[in-house]
Amino acid sequence: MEIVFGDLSLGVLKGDTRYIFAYNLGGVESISRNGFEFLYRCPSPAFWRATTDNDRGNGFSKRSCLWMGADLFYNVENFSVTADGTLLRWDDLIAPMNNSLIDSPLRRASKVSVRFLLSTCTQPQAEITVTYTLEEDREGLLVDYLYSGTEGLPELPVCGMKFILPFRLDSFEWDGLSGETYPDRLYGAQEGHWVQESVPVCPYAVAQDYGMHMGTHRLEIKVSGQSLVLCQEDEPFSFSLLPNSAQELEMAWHPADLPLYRRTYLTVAAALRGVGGIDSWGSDVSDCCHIDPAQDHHMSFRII
Amino acid sequence: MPSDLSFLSDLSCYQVNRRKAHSDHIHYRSRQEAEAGSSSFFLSLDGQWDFIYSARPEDRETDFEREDFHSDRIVEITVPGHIQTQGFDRIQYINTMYPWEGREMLRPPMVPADNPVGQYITTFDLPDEMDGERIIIRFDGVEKAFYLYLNGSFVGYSEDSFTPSEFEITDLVRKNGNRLCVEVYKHSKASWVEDQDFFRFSGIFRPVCIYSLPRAHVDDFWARTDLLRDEGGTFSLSLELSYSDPDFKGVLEYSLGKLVKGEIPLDSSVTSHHSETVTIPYVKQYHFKAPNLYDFSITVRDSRKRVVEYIPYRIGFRHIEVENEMVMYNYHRLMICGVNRHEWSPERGRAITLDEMRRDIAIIKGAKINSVRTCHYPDRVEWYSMCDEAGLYVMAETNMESHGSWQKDGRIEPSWNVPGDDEAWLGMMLDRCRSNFELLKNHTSIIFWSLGNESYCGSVIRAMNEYYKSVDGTRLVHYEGVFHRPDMKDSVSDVESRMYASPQAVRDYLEKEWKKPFLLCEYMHCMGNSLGGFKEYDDLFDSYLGYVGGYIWDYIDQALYRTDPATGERYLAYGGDFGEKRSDYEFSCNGIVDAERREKPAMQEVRAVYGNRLW
Repeated sequence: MEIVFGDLSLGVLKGDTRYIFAYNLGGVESISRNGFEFLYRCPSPAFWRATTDNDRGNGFSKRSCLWMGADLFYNVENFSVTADGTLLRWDDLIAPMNNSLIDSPLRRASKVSVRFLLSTCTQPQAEITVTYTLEEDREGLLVDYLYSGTEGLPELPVCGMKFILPFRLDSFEWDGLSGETYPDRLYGAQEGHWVQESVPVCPYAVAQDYGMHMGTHRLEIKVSGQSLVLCQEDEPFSFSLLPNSAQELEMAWHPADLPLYRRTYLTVAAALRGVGGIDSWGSDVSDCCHIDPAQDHHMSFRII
Repeated sequence: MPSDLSFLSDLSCYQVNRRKAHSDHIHYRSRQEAEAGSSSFFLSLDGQWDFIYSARPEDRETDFEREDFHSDRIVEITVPGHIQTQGFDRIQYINTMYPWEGREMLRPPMVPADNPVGQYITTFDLPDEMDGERIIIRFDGVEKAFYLYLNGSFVGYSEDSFTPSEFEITDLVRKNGNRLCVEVYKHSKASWVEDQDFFRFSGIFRPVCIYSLPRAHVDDFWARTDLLRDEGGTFSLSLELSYSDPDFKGVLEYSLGKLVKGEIPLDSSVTSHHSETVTIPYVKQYHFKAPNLYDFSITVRDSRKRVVEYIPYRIGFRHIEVENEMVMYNYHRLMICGVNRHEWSPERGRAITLDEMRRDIAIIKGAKINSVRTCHYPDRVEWYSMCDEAGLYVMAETNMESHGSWQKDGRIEPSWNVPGDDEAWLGMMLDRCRSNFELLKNHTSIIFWSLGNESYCGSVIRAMNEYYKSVDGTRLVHYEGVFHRPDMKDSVSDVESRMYASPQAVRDYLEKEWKKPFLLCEYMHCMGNSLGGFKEYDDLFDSYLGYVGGYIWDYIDQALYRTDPATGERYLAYGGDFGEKRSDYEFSCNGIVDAERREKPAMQEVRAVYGNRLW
């Protein structure tokens, strides 16, 4: 692999794919292939789902509203790179220390990991560790996400990562469960290969969270003859691909009020909250289906 | 004669000159006509009518029924259709609060001053076939109160928005150039008991027709069947007849498939008949998986054996009862995997078409649902025949809801609850039960009569329960509101019915209190992204024999097309989008399908849970 020790970023060219990890932004800012860019902005932690009618009815959004801000804003606390077993810390990676790397054999490393420590803009703060790993003999980019359990925070609406894709997708297909699934609405889902010909439009009268797919082994997003693939690493993952952000959905009274579809919002979740259904004016979701902020939440998947 | 507005608030005046309710059969001049599906006894009056809209009663034209009436206020309106969806008045959605909340302080049976009036005028000629016959006019649904005039004369008055109202007009009708005038009020005292959680419309929103009666006519029949334990069945027939020819002589023949045949000699003194109960050794049972129906027919012939009228119907055999605190259907435990259904069209509100109803049947059957509750009023009458044919068990609800009279933002406060214990409401409420029962009694699919919805409980509702029990031993009676009056549970409702009880609350009842079968008349509030935890309810079937199941809330989002002024594009609007206050905004959108009948994602769960349980 070709490693670029930039002043504010680590660049990696692996095969036909170039990755740029932005130290100041806390993640992979660019994945490009044949001149096609797959990312609009650096991925960031996902902590908010647009309030569902049941979330509103049972007061969940009021109890947990701090996560809406946490979803928009976060801190980059630290970062490090491990290249072929050599640990390079913050200071090692920026000028002047990186000057010495210009002749380093690490510029041809066969394995490189970039680790970011992020923190939430909440009180107390929670930490998120995202580690990106590239290996010469393994396909794609391994993403490992860990939310470290923190006492004193309200329950989470969702816990994961969001990627903004700078395009309107043509279609996507996945191996996993059919239909829209949440932890308390899985029974009817069928395992299989599923194809959706366009980005899903919010099917509810009031714009709100929708389109989650649990138990996914592989997701392929197709655009302009290109494709971006997410693969399960250890456990199946959950994702949604929506034409709008959680905040845009939150603010829209009707799906028709939403901004035009310009970019695609990919959420990959380590933990999901159930949607509930007993009533829409008080009953909480079942005990099984809450996201405890005091517990760790982990996921890993590969982007190809 | 200008309409007497005192009718609107007079509790004893809920109809004037309305015909007695009767079975919903259609009579034809011949069997061939029946097979072609079009009866020449009937003439539809649907179409474009003249219309005058007035925001308040004092603004209406007080002589519009006069034959020489002229006005430059006359515009056109489509019948059937709501007034509000055609550009008049204001569209309002509100849940439990009465629609005049914050505008007028009223107590029952007062009628708001803000009471839009629609004055409808149309003309018609009698077809030649009807010449000389008795003529009836029928309104299938007018919300909420109307005065009827023909050729300048007052014909009658009716309320009960969701039930057909018929008037005999033989003495007023002409061969040609009849001028029909209908004055429709958005509110009457009935508004207090029609406080359903829906858009608040008014107008002639269901079809209107005239029809004629031949010399001898079956006004009403009840073909009663029962399924026996040993695969046999029983049948009996009750009839009511009327004659325009006092010298009529003839015969009435009836048959039920090849199972039963009978003949009754007729003359004009035979105005009722009750057959003996016949036992049939083997019958095919009626079941949601196999909705077996037998062709039933009545043929009235004159003394020369010519057919006077021919009446086809479809009848099945089934048996429902409560046994050992379980609901038994055909001697097996009944499991309801149901849905509540409002009538809805995103274009026309509750003025729905037969095509929309057929689509509803297909979607509901496709979702593996086996029962519908007609929340919270009688549906278009054709719905019940569609359910018969499809094998959808029906909870047939009476038109009653007074939610705002006893519950305020969730708090129970029944200080002025209606109908409560006030005997002044009794006649009107019993009339609603009678209309529902008499109209629909022959529908095999109906297994529950429901007294209505969310109206608390008092002696009037107890009397409604008694009424249904007194006329029909072949079905069960349902009412949820008695939950708030435990002291009345022994005398109201054959089932313990609740809404939105958690799975744990259901377990608590069936473990600690089980006195009646337990039914959830509403559960799984499918508002937006919902229906989580559905399987937990299904699991109750395995643990509790007394669990009868439930009806999902509900089938279809109540949202209406509106054009977005910013984009010119049509979107699905809900409460508040029409500028109305007060409103409960999006709370009317709880369907497993959206207002355009597109499946919501939760349908996958409905189909799997209900499908695996039942099919």
